Amino acid sequence: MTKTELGEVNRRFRPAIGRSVPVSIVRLGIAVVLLTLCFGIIGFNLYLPFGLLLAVMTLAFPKTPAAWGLAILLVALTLGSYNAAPTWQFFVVLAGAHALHQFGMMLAWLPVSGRIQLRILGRMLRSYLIIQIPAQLISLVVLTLLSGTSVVATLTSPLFGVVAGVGLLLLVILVLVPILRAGADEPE
Amino acid sequence: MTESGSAASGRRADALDATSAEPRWVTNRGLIFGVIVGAGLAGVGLLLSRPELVLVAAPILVAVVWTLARRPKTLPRVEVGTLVGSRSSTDTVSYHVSFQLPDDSDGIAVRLYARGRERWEVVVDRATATRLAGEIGIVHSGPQEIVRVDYELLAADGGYLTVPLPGPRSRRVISPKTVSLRRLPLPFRMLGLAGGHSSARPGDGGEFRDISQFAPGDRLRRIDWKVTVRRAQAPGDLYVRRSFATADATALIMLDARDDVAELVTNWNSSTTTLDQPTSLDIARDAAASIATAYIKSGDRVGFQDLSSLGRIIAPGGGTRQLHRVLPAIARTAPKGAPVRRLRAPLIPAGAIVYVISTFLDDESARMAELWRVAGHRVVAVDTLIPTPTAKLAPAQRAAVRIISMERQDRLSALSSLGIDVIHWTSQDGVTPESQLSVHARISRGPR
Repeated sequence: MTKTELGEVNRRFRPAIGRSVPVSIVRLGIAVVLLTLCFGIIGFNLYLPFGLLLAVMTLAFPKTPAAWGLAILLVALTLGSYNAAPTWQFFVVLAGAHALHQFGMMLAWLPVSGRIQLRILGRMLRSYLIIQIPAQLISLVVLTLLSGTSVVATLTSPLFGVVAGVGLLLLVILVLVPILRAGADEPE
Repeated sequence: MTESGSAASGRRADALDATSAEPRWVTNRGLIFGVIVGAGLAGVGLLLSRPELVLVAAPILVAVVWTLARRPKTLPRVEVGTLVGSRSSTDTVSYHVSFQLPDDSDGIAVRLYARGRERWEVVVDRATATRLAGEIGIVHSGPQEIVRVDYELLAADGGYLTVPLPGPRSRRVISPKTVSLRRLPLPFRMLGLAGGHSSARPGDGGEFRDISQFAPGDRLRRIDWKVTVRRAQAPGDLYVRRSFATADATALIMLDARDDVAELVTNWNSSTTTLDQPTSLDIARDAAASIATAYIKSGDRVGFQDLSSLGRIIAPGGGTRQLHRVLPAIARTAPKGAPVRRLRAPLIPAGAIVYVISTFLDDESARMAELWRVAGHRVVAVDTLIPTPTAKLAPAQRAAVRIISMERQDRLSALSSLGIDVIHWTSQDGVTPESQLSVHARISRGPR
């Protein structure tokens, strides 16, 4: 068998899995999103190298919390100064932070090479959109109502903060306890 | 995690290699990071009266809660089976991998290894995982790993995973390729009373020998009446036509499996199973299988022994059943442990032709060939070393190759001077083994 024939046969070794994309394309897509977020949200300032470092770490070391670190950086830089009026950066960060969470989860099991079925990616995209579209709409409504000119903005009370704080604490307990319990059950 | 079943080497081509496992689900670390970041952002938003921080945290927390809600409830049980086909005419084998996955898994990340070298990863859903199939190019003959599978289950969009699990390792013995050999050298002495060759003894079935007077023991149907009428001088004189007896040849194939070296000298120290080029042992197996098949097809008897092991010889025999005994033994030959040094050559039947198939990189197989030749057997030395290009070697390596080549050449010349026929199975000048054997088949030297 010649080298050309062997190369052809080696390609036939790869099983047919229907409609799929190379994992490298998926990784490239994630890299493009990360760079767009870095350059679009952070801009050309002193934080950019830090953002790029986190983006690179997200791709190169997927087991580290670099993706969530980048999300915090983007949120901190965008929402650092108070401005309740909805801006495009806020909506990009809203989508970006959620996407970074999904990417961080996905990169934990995504292979280095090979192919991934479009059906698997489609299912993940659907989950993302099901959460993200309502989140964008609710954010738009909430921020519009809370902007300075709205009547709703005047309906504020310290009591709301206490109630929301207790609610958040309960939510965190509800979410963390099953995770930690499951983690304790797992073998070393 | 439990595992059962395994793939054994030397299994039937269509045998199923299967494993099953009961791994535990492991939470994706991203879920914990998501909770920390989401709750942290929401908490800071509440403390600082910043609703936009809570809004950014909300999708992350909802995604985490949704993943938790879809947490797999049962321990997965995974069944994996691999079917490997036979070697096709295009030097490929087909494989089919089938996964039976639990209902609460979304998909599976599968890592496939072909021939222990090519690696390919796919992430597929549960339905597709039941039928993954492809073809693997085969370069080497003999026992080898064809395909190996590792996998990792995914559930809740990757929120829950299993640790990577080893699947079946499919090892098979790949048959060598045979070439057609029409004319083969014969032993100096033929044995037996039946076969496809003429012997020097009078008997039945062979070519015409002479006309002789009828003697007690001659068969009546041998009486040649025309000659009797012409020559008879007294009543009762009868003449018979006498013929030579037929006989069969006994060929012993001695394969030296101690060396398995590739074309490039720089690869001589590395494992050859991952190379994309045939090795000397592939050539040796091809040569042994071709010679055995040719002798059996011409009605002769063939025996086989792996010179690298102290196992018993496969006694010479004829017929298809003997071929089915010899060919698998040839296919299974592989270098094993430390080289064996024999004090004396294995005993072989009288009047047999002995094929010593080796690279002749050391004295051992040449010494065996000499011992058999001195004992009066016809010996054919089949050289299986692939011509080694030296153009890209460093000067020191080139010098080393030159010394080894000269020693080898001296060894082969010494064999030739003893009357041993030397055949180069992979000849640099394009002379096929068939034509080399045909030349030696025409020469029928008696024992010296």
